[in-house]
Amino acid sequence: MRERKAESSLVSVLRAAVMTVTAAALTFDLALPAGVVAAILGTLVGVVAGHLLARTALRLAVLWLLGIAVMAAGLGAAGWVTGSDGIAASLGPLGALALADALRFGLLFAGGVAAVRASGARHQEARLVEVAAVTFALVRILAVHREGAINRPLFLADWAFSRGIDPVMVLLWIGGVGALTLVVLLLHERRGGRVLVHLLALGLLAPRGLAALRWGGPPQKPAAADTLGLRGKGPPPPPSRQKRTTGDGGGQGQSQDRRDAEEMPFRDDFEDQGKEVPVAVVVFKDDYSPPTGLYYFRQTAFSQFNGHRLVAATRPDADRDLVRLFPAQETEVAPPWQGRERRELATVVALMSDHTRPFALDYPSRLTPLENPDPARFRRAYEATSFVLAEELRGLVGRKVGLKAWANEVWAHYQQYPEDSRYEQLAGEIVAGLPEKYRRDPVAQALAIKVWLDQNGIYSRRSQHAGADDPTADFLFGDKTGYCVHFAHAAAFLLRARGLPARVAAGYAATEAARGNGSSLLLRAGDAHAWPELYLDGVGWVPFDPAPERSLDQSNRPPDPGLQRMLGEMVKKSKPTPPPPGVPEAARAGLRSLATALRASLPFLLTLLLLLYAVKAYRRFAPAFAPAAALPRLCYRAALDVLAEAGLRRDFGETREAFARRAAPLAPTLGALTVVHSGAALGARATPAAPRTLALQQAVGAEVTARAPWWRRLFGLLNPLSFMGSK
Amino acid sequence: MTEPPIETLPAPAGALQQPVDGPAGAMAVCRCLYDRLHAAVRGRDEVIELILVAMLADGHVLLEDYPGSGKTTLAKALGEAIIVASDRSERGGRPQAPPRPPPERDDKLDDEIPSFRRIQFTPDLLPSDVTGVSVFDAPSGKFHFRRGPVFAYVVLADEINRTSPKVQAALLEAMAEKQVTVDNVTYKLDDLFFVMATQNPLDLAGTYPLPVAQLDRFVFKIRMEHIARDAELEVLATYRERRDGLAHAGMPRVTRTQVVEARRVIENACQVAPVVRECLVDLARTLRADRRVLQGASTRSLVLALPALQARAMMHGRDFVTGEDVEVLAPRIFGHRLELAPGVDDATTVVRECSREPLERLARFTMQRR
Repeated sequence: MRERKAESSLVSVLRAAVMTVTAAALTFDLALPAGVVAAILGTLVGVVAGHLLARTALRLAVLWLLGIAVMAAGLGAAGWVTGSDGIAASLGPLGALALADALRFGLLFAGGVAAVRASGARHQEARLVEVAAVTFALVRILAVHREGAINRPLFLADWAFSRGIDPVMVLLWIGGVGALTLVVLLLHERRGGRVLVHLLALGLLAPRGLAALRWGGPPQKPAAADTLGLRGKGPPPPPSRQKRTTGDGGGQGQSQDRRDAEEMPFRDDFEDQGKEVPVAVVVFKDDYSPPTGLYYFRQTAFSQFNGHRLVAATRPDADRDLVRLFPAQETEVAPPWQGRERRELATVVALMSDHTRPFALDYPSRLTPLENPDPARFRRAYEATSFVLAEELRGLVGRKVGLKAWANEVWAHYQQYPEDSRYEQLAGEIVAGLPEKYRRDPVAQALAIKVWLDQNGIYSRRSQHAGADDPTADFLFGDKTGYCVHFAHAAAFLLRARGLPARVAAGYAATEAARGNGSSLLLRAGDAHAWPELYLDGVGWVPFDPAPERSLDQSNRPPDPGLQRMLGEMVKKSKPTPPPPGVPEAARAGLRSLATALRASLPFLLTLLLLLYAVKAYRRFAPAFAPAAALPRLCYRAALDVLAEAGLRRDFGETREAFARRAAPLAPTLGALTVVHSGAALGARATPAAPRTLALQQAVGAEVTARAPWWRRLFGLLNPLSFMGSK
Repeated sequence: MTEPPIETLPAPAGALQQPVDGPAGAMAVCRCLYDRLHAAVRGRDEVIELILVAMLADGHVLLEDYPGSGKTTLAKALGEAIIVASDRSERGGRPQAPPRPPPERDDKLDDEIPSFRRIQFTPDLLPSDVTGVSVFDAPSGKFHFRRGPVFAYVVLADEINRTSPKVQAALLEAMAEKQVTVDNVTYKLDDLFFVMATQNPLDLAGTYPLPVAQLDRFVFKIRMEHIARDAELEVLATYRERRDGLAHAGMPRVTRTQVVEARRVIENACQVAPVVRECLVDLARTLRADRRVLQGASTRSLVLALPALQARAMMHGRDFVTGEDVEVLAPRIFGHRLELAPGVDDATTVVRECSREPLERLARFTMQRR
């Protein structure tokens, strides 16, 4: 009855493949693997179902309702699965989630694709929707590149980066090949009119894609603050990173685990892997040679004795110099130093792995967040203005310890150490080696303790003290073999045994030599360090870091100068973070404007609707007051409208007589009316009298009323566009 | 010399009583012929219609079919349906007798033209076996022309591709010019001269296939498919009564003159709107432009198509040609006139596809305000 041009199977298979890829691309970053697989299967089912449904007699509107029903069923089923306790109990929470995802995306795509495909199979124009869907998926993946974010999509950028190709080139190639394909397709089109239509469609599609992005939004760049362990919400770090955290000095925290920031574990053995992994880059705005020979980047400090060792202070009035949070805006964390002992030094720190807290040189006074110079490499960046020690340790001899403002409890806090007489005894012995006049001097005592540990301690990351009740005593009064945590604790306890306020600081330490002549310094996981500090009045916390002369381990290699310089150059370009845009506000404003636009266009739409109904009514009742000459045509048109409402329309190229035969089961009289109409148009000698023509038209109407299902006629009656198809 | 099988029918009585002077009369002739043929041959309604259309359009048809598919029955029934001009009933009913050839050249014995003749074409057939031959009459000392089998109303040219091109050309000249020339003397054929040629589409060994130029002289090439199961059962059930002529015994027949007048009425009274002619020309142009067609339809085929369209319209009780006539007849008219590109073998599909747009334009035209 209806001939449709058969499509080659190659085209069908290609279309199915493209739609499958689109489904996978759309769901890839939304769904679990089960959901992606279900989306692919659902798309295939949808394509086949759409093809089959298009051949049935069902109306397109019914097909769309079916598709929407399937989609709604998918969403509902997914919600039910996630909400049901029984399923979660039997499949486990992950299984239930996977099942929900599979149901949601599988049915969503099956229903949607089936409806779209059925429309496409019925009407050539509806294939635009398919093209639009595919375009949207691709645009969505690639559009994140706007504003120079060349690292997205990651699969493309990583692939290009790993081969030393600029991802921009890859993207340009994709765009170029796409444009070329379109041009070739357009040239291939032989009919000029269609080329125009295609160009018009392209012009409509492009803003449509943009609009979709505007409302659907590109995948947001991960907000760095969300990945912070400080909130305790971040996903668990991969195992390799966790091992690194347990490294030297622990607690300077690439881990999300809050405990590590609170206390510093003694460990018996270390993994040496991952020591070379870069964790941060520091760019010095000014040249600075530390008097101690090392740059100390303090992240945290441990000053509270818990009976075994030092942990993070719980007193609010202790260790107030520590910065506990990353800055969201320019923040003054401590007042600028006024004395000559310290001078101002600005540094830029770019973190390459997550940290629980910011770290900075020595005495940080102001932190300013910076825009991430390259989100592919860096987690975040900030500028730290520190007041660094400008005086040699020797020049500090004669300073007093502590601060007059300290309460007695704070003094006690910094002086607590294990109730073990050996500390006091050993400290006394060490100090006894000093010349008489220096025995009461804090700096001299601290230096003596440092030197004693330098000479007597043995550096090894494979020590065996963690099991002891007091690991520090086990180390200090045992084989004196340990790593920086042992040395730092030993020095701190010895200093405290002499009544000096001391603590253990943790963070990164790097030698001045590692910086070389450049302005940037690359910190690696192996640079993590813990060191003892003494509070000197008018100077603040000063490190007295023991450096054992004997070591069982290899010392760290200096960082690769090329990498250090390159990363430093990248960091130098970073700019201060712009004030965060009010994203929800913008979205709300957009919605408001959309609502306004809808409200504004409502009268127009209503007018259009009324106009269409008026046209429909006019066509139906025109025969009643038509001149005799036009009567056959108008009667025939009215009869065609009635049939169109019942879902029967003449096909392209179908003759009126063939259509009348096709419509005969519904309206047998149409044949006679067709003869009258054709005769009037094509030169019959005699035309029947007006009453007879009208009677024929009314007979067709009555037949359709009697034979077509009521819901179909109701639908046709309500459809303001029903007459569009009757021709 | 092989005498071709010639069947002569007795002159029956009982003709159509309605005068053929307007569309109604022409339609009655069509109806009468159709009913008789329909009674005689079962399951071939479409072929019957096409044959009648061709006859009323003053054309000829080429049937492509298998042996035993009913073509002789059909041709014989058509011949029987026409009352021979010299029948007494015809002479009595009509004042004008058919123009008779000059007596000195005519064969007294063959004064009457039979309504139906069948020529079985064989490779050794000669042109004179078809057209007729002049024989020397000793008593009068003159040559007398003895008419060949083409001097009939309905001629069944069986297996036309079996004979030599020379004989084919003789028949085709007779078809085109409605006359035969023997010994430099031209003899006119009857106005109602209708050829039904047949050829077997399969058994092609030792045949002389008609070239496209010759095929152009047939209005239609009709490919007869095997008839439906029910029709075949009916053929078996009604075989005897149809053989004995009982099936259409009481039905009226038409005279030769009625048929000729019906032709004239159809030509004059059946309207071909300009838009229908446009549709026809557009279709021919579309066909010529189509990639699958090497050589498109000729202008002559369009000229031949017009009376066929008119005849079909009249057969369906209309005095105007519509798109349906074009749709139905176009594949029959143009199908055998096209030279198709290699690899394309279904001319009907090509014509159908090419006719879609012109037909759509025609259909749209009828809805325009005038």
